[in-house]
Amino acid sequence: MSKILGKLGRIPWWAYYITIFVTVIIPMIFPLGLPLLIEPMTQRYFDVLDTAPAGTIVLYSSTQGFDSEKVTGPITEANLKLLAKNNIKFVYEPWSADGAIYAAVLIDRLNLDETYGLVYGEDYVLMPFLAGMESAMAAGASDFRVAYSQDHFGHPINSLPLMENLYNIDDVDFVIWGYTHCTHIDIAMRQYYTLYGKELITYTSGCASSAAPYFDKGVIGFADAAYGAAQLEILGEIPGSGLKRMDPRTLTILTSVVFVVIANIGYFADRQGRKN
Amino acid sequence: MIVTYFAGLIAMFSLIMSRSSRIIKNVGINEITLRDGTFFIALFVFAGVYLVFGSGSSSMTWLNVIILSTISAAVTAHRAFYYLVWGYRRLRFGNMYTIMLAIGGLTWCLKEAPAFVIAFPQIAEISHWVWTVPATAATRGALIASAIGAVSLGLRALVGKEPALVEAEVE
Repeated sequence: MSKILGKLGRIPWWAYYITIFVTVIIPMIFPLGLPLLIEPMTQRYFDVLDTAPAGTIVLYSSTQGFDSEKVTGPITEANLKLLAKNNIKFVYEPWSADGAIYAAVLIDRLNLDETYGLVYGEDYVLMPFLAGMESAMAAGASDFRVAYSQDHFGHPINSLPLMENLYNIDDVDFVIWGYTHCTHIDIAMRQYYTLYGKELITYTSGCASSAAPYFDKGVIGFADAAYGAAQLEILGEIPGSGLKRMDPRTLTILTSVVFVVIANIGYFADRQGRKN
Repeated sequence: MIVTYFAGLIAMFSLIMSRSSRIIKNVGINEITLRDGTFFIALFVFAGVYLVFGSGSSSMTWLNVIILSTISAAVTAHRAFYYLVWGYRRLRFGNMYTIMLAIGGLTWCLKEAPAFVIAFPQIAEISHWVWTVPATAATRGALIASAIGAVSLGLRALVGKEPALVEAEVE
C-alpha cells in the first residue's frame, strides 16, 4: 500500500503541466463566474478614484512596461478606465524604457477616446522615458519643464493644454504609483510623500507586503495586480481582463494545493515504507 | 540627472566592452557567444530603431508589442508552471522549516484564490493580519537593515574595499 501511495509524490512534471494547462483553459472557454471578495484596501483605492471631483489632476507614475504586462496589465487597464470614466485628468510618467509606448498602446487598445471622449493633451499627457529612476523622478516632481522639454510624441510641453497650469507635483491632487519591483514603493514614498506630502494610491505585481508598512502613512489605497483589477472592475462596473483571469486563477491555485496535499501523502507513505 | 546619465553611459560602455571581449576569447558557437550575441543583436535592433525612428514611432511600438511582449508572455507562462511544480516538489512536511514554508505557502495560495476566500472568509482575515502585523514588522526590519547595509556598502566603496558591480559582471 505504501508503495502505491509513495508514487503520488513522484508525479512527472509533464503530467502536472498538462493538468494545470487544462485548469487554465477550461474556464477560459467556459467562464464559471466564480464570486470574489472586495478587500478593504482595494475598496479604498476605488473610493479615492470614484469620489475625486471631475477635473481632478493626478500624477500617474509607473515602472511597468511590456515585460510586466502579463501581471500588471489588468490593473493598468482598470486604472485607465476609471480615470477616464470619472473624468480625472492625468500626467503619465513612465520609469521603464518602453513604459510610454506601453501606455499609448493600452489607451489605444481600450478605445478610451471613443468610449469616454478622452482627448490627448487635454485629459492626459504621456511623458517620455527618463533614465535614472529616482533621480529622474525627483527632477520630474520638482519641475516638469526642467525634466521634460517635450512629451512622448514630440510635442513641446508648453503646447499641451493640460500642462498650462501644471508645473510640478504641487499642482496635482494625488499620485497613482504602479510598481513592479518590491523596493520601488520606498522610492515613491521618498520622492512624493516625504518631500511633497502627496498621498499615494498604489498597485503592484505581487509585492503587497512591501506596501503594507505605509498603509495610512502615505498610502491611502492599495490594489494587488490582477486580483485587485478584478475587484476594481466589479466596483466600477468596467468588466475587463482582470475578471476573466479570476476563474482560471481559482482553479489553478486549488489544483496546486491538491497536488501539494497529494505530494505529502506520497512523502509520508514513502517514509513509512522505508521504516517497514 | 547628469551624474545618473553619465553613470549609465559608463555602465553601458563597460557592458559592451566586457561582452565583446568574451566573444573574442570564445570564438565559435557555444553558450557564451550565443548569450552575448543575443545581447548585441537586441541592443543593435532596439537602439537602431530608436535612433532612426524615435521612441514614439510605430516601428518602436511594433518591436515592443510583437517581440518584447511575446517573449515576456512566454517567460511569464514558463515561470508560472515552474513555480507550481516547485511547490509540488518542495512543500513537504519534512522538518520544522519545510512545515512552516508549506503552511505559509498554502495559506497564501488559498488567500489568492478568489472563490475560496468567499467560501472561507476567515482565511482573508488571517491573511490580512499576517500581512499587516508580522509581515509589516519584518518588512520594516528589512528596510532598516538594508539602509544600514547601504551606508556601510557606500563607506566600503569609498575606501576601496568593495568591487564595482561592473567588475562583478565581467567576472
